[in-house]
Amino acid sequence: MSSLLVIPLEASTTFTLLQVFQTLATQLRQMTTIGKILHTIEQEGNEIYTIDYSYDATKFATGGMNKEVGIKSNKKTIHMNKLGACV
Amino acid sequence: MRVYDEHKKSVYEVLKAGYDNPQHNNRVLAVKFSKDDPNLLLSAGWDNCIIRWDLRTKRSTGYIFGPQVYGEALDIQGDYILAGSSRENKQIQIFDVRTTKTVSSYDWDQNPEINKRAYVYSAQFGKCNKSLVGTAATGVNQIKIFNHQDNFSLLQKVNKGEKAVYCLDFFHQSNNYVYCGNKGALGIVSYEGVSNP
Repeated sequence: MSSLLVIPLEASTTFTLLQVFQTLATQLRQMTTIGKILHTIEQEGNEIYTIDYSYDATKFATGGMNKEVGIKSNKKTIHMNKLGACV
Repeated sequence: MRVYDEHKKSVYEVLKAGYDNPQHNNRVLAVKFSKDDPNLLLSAGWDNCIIRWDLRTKRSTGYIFGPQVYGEALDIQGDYILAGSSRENKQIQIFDVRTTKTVSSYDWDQNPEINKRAYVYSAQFGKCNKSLVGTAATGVNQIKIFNHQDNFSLLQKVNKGEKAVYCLDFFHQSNNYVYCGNKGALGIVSYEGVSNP
């Protein structure tokens, strides 16, 4: 299962993340403009079915097989995006 | 509910059921933040329940029992919650986010060409034109664009034949939308305010 997300920041700085979900709930966050994986999160035994970014792009929520909704803060990504570069 | 820390890459908060409100007891298939209220989050899944969460109290603050949201068929715009259900009637529903009461419902007609009913797996509000609702259904394998402020008047219908459509989302800066489905189906559709679908 995969999902395309356009994260709303300022109109001039929007970019697209490709979120890939695998059976072991591996999330690969990529900046599609350069194709670099920012980082990977794994939840063994879980499967993630959905994701949504908050409109200020400071966090995102996920939901999956384990009946829980995860919320992950995202300040590092914001910082990188405002600089226009990926660390 | 879980809250993660970016740097530790681990869960640092788990949100719980609020007073007299539930948490999910089955798989979660959709989550959606509110654009107007950064502390409001919705989720839905196989337990046929939409749950409203408050990120300040880390608790659920309300729920809507009924919608069978089995895909990315959950959205919120202003005071309205949009839910698409995988069932044979009242597939599209709009609820009031404050009262959780039903505002309006839409029954998706059967596709006579293939004699199948609609099972909605994606439903989204328009991002530019706030009156638009985009929905995608399997079974009938159709995409429909409605005006929800005009009693769900049909603005555009796209038949995908044998290809089921599972996901749909509007562009941020236009009323065009992108969809994807099985057999590698992926497309961008131009919405031109079609008056004769």
